[in-house]
Amino acid sequence: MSDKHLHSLIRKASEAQAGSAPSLRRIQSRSQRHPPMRWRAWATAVSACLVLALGLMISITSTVEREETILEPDLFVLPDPLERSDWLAYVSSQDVIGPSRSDWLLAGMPPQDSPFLTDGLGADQSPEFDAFMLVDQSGAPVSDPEFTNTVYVIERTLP
Amino acid sequence: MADGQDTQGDAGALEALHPDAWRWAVHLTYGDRELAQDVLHDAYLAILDGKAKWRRQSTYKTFVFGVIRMTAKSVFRKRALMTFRFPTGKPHDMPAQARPDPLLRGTLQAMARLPKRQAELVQLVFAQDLTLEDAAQVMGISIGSARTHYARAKASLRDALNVEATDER
Repeated sequence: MSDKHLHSLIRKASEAQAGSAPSLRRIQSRSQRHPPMRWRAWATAVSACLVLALGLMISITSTVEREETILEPDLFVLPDPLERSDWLAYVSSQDVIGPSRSDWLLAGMPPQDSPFLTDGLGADQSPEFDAFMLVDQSGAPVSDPEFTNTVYVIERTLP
Repeated sequence: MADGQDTQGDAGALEALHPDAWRWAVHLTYGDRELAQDVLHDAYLAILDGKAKWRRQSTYKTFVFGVIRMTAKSVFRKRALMTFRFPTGKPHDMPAQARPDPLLRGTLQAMARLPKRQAELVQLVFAQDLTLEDAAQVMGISIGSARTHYARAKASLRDALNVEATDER
């Protein structure tokens, strides 16, 4: 079969397949048909939304939990009998802390007249504190404190 | 033909090309005339609105055919997303009022069995009278690749049509 014959056959077949062309005006004024979404497409879209929502919820929950864990030590409230101007409350910011006092961070209510007491100030960094003593919440000295999240009270001794 | 004669957005140029564009769109939509109208509608809009720009690096017909091909691909993609149905290259259908002779039917069936690129090349070169270079440009492939597809398509069609001619005898 020659190229010419093939050419002629394919052209005729193509014309027969296409039929007569609709008018250009009809094509231009045509509004696009949108096929209805099938149930599988809907199901996929809904499932994707559910998975996304679930992922978002898990992410938010874990973030809140993590923040709560971190903030927990800050919930300390100085016991009423110890709420004295010369007592300061400190709380560890870590689960286990070392014996160094610089590991302690300020978390209690400072006396109103103490200008140096600011958040996060390490006890050792305060020039106004020349002596420290750890006492428990009843006010008794703690000779061998367990360095955990337990809240301790540090007595301030002014010069 | 409007090849290279008209400017971008000229409806007259499109009108001159319209019958050829229609056949090309019907081929690209596997004989689905309704879908072919959607494709042409979108392609013409893109051209007339200036979204598809003719840079005069090819003939106007090549440019328009390229736009129609890209539009058909985009329409298929949208439909596949909406309906989960992908075009499979099923045998080409024919309008009920135009049942051609068995040889033409056999030719269409042989074309439908060709790989997509080969069928497109055959359609562009044989049925649309484009040069192989222009056809390659419409399809966005290199001329070397087009030559290979073209030679293979011709060989496959000859084989298929000779077998069918022998069967009919």
